[in-house]
Amino acid sequence: MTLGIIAAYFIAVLVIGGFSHRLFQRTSEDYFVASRSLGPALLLLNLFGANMTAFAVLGASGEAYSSGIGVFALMGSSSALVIPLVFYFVGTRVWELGKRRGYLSPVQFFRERYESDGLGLLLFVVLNALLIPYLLIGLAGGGIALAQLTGGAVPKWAGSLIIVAVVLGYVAYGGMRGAIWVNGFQALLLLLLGGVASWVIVHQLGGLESAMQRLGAVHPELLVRGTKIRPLQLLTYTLIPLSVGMFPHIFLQWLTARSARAFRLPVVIYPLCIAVVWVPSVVLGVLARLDFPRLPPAAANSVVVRLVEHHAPGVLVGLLAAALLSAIMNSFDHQVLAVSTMFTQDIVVHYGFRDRMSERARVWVGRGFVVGILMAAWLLSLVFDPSLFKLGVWCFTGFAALFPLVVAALYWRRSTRQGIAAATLCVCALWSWLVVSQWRSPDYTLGGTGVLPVALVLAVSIVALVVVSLLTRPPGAATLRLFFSADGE
Amino acid sequence: MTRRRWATLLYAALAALYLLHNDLWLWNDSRLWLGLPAGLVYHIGFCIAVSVVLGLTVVFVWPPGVPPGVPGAPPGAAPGAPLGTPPGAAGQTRPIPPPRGQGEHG
Repeated sequence: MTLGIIAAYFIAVLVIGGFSHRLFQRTSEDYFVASRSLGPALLLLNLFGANMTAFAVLGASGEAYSSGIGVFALMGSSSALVIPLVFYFVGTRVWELGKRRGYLSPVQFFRERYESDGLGLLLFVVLNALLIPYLLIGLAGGGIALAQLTGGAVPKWAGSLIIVAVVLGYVAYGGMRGAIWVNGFQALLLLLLGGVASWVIVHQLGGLESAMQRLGAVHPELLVRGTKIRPLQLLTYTLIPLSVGMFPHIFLQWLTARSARAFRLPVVIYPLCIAVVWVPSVVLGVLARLDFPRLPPAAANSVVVRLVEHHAPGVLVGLLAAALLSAIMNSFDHQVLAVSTMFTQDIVVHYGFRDRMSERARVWVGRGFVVGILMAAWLLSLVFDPSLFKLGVWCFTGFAALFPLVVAALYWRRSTRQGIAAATLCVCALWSWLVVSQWRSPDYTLGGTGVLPVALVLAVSIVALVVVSLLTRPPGAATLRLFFSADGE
Repeated sequence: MTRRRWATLLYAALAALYLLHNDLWLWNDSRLWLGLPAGLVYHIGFCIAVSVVLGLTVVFVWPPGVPPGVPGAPPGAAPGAPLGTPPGAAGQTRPIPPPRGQGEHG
């Protein structure tokens, strides 16, 4: 039954991807940013889906199982406030400049804003170095989750290969347009099935209030923050969602919007979507203690799978598998497309061929990179060490620490390429040191105070950017006019 | 009320929400509200409040630098054209000067 539902889900995804190809206009702009044609609803579903990784959904349940309901405040409601504000202040401005200047990648934007090829190259390396491990973690996690959900009938290597093959089917073929349509479907599935799974399980547990009272009697510490989460941790965790502002795949999705007005719906509804997906995950995570009181930490991330198998085997396990695959592929496909876009636009087109490449050739180069990246990701996932999952949190820290770059580029005329480069290099150095010394401790806080490392790296990034910018010469007046006047004149 | 006043009011409300996110007063409150722990219900309400304030913000205050209703660029917006060329309207925007010692972007 489970395998049948998973197969039906994959077929549905491929059919939607194939249908979207009928709208393909055979230009590189269409392949990489869907001709900047997305309306509000699809933009919302895609932005939400791309941020809602399986890592987040399963991780939330696992964290709630161990730490209690405070996980929602820590990771969910902080994102509900910060991420829409990033869309509002950064996304709309990036969209406007992207539309006016024809950008197809974040590197193009920074290169032109600061009149520097070298800076573009530095950011190309840093953004990919942070994104590729994140992408790999998603794929490896997908293979493991699929193996669990099918009781081992689909081994890890085959699970990852199936995900790669399906994503290849709609991204290589349809590019951003294929990813957008499929992700719209997948995000809806995720929103609906999370609620259905929770309702069924909570019903089986005797209703919400009764189950919570029983939980409160045996594990009262899970109903409060207590000592599991510290106040400074809650405060500094709000910096983590700033990473959204520097994710290359989110930057590309901003560029796909039809108009600035298309951002209104995502900005307003995003916090509600967060609640719809995260609250059931957290509730199921804490209630899992009633059925599985002592799972080892490594098994905590699979509590939802275990709960569904325990209370509603059969159809619901299949539907949960479909929701999980939606969460995995929603972000994985956009990340693959973002890496492919940067290689095509920022290396091949910029350095190699410039005016000598036809539209058709650019699309085929983009497709070639999609195939190559998917194959490389799958091969790397075969030798993936599960302990590397801990790197995921650090990737967020790195992207969040780079957030001042995009803010300065959009809002601070006086910022300079040397300032941006100094901030980037400081982040790289400090981040690398922290990762090397603390990478096995994703819960590491500075001096055990509860202050997350992101606060320190972000502060260093801001200081380096401001000080070096003030000591160096700003970009020329003509460039500043292009970026800071309403019509670019 | 003018746009400026709305902006002041709503940005202040967003700053207040940032502070209210740190609900220290419910830290150890294990009461159940509507069947859920008080701390969880508070943050569900927080998400709804954020949505409402952002709803008012996108209606009454539009982001700096993006005029309401910026029309979409004409179709065929110069994909692959030099970055100095605006989408669909070559020549209307001044091409940016290339970096020293380099040719045109794109």
